[in-house]
This record gives sequence, structure tokens and C-alpha cells, in this order.
Amino acid sequence: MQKRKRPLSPHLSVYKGQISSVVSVMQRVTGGGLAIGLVYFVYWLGAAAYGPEAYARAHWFLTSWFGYLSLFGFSICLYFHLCNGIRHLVWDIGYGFEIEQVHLGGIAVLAGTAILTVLTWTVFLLTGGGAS
Amino acid sequence: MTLRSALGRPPGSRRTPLGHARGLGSTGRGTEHWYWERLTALALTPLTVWFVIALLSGVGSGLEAMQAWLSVPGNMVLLILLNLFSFWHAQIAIGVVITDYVHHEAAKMAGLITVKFGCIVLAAFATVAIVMTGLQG
Repeated sequence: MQKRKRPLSPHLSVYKGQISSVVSVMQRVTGGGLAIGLVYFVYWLGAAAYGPEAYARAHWFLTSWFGYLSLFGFSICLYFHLCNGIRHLVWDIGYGFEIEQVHLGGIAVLAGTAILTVLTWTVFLLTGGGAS
Repeated sequence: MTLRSALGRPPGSRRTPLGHARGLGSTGRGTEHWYWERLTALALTPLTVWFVIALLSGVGSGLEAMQAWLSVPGNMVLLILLNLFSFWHAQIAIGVVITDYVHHEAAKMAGLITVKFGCIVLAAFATVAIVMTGLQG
């Protein structure tokens, strides 16, 4: 098949990171994190259905240091993906394309992620922990 | 599969713009995936917030608490919906990543099929698990 010369996608590595591009890449990275989170989610539900012994094992894992570290990571991924997802939905209905709005939106996503993550884990610690 | 220009209609084309756009995209599905990715995102926004609040209020503190929580029909339905919409969204999104980065046609198809079947199996398993747990509450 004859290859026609097509315009190439930009090679990301030649660009200096900007808030717009970094947040965009992070949307995929956090989405990947949440996909792993879904596996935890299914494991947790499956363990509950299989009975007390299976649940106890899952609970031990999820409340281990590695479990909590994972959950903390998933919470960051979730809030980032959620905030930036809302930003994408706003773009999809046709708003916020000015460069200043794009930058402000990116900063808002980062701030929202930080605030919601800290808020969630503060509530968790203050209420004695819902556990898993 | 025939290759068609995604860069616009050929000069002198008598097909409508919509007719030309149909069937394009790296999986040949035009805008269908794009649309469902947004629709599931819209549903997942309130559902994930509800789920985090439920976790913080202690539904994960023990098996009895979880069974009691899921024995409420509303909670069971919302968690099933969260599960289904999450996997639906994930399956589209991972598919987009695969079509972006995997250029070998056979590997691309294998990846897409694996992800789709994997998501369907996990979503079905989780749905049954939610129902069984709730019925024990």
C-alpha cells in the first residue's frame, strides 16, 4: 500500500510541560489508576459475597499499609479525574476555550483535587475511619 | 477494512458530511464511543460522590455493615449502576488508549477484545456479588 505523507501528531517529548498539557496527560494516567481501583472494588465486593473468611482477608489487605496507600492513590486519581472530567464536559458543551480559561481551569482542577483529597482523609481520620 | 480519508471529503464528493463521517474513527464507529464516554461520565459524577460518602460513613467497616447497607434496595441499585457505568466508561476509555498507541492491527484487535470481555466479566461478577451481599443483610 502506498504511504501518503500525512501530518504527524506532535511528539510530546519536544514540548516543555505546561499546565494544559500536563493536566491532559494526567487525565489518562489517573484513568489508568482508577481502572486498577476497579479491580480492588470487584475484589472487595466478591469477598463480601463469598462470606466472612474471604471478607476478613480482603479487609485485612485493604486496611494494611499497602491497602491504605492504594486507597489514598485511588482517591487522588478519582478526584482529579472527576474534576477534570467535569472540565471536559464543560468544553463539550462549548465553553471555556480561551487560553486564560484553560489555564484557570487546570489550576482549579489541581486545587480541587488537593482540597477534596485532604477533606476526605481528614473526615476519615476524625470519624475514626470507615475502614476500607 | 478500506482506508478512508479522515481529513475531509474528497473534492467533488456528492456524499453529505454526515454520510462521510459515519464509520470513521480508528475503530470505525464514528462518534458513538465519544458520546457514550460522556454520557457515562455524567452518570458517574453523582454516583462516585455518593459512594465516597457511603464509604466515609462506615459501610466498609465490616461485613455486617456492608450487608445492611446493600440490603436497602436503593443502595443496591445505585452500587450496581456505579459498577456498570464504571466498567462501561473504563472499557471505552482503555479502548481509546489502545487505538491511540497500538498500531499493529492484530494486536490492537486482540487488546480491544480482551479489555471488552474483561470488563464484561468483572462487571457481571460484581453485580452478582452486590446482589448476594445485599440479600444476606
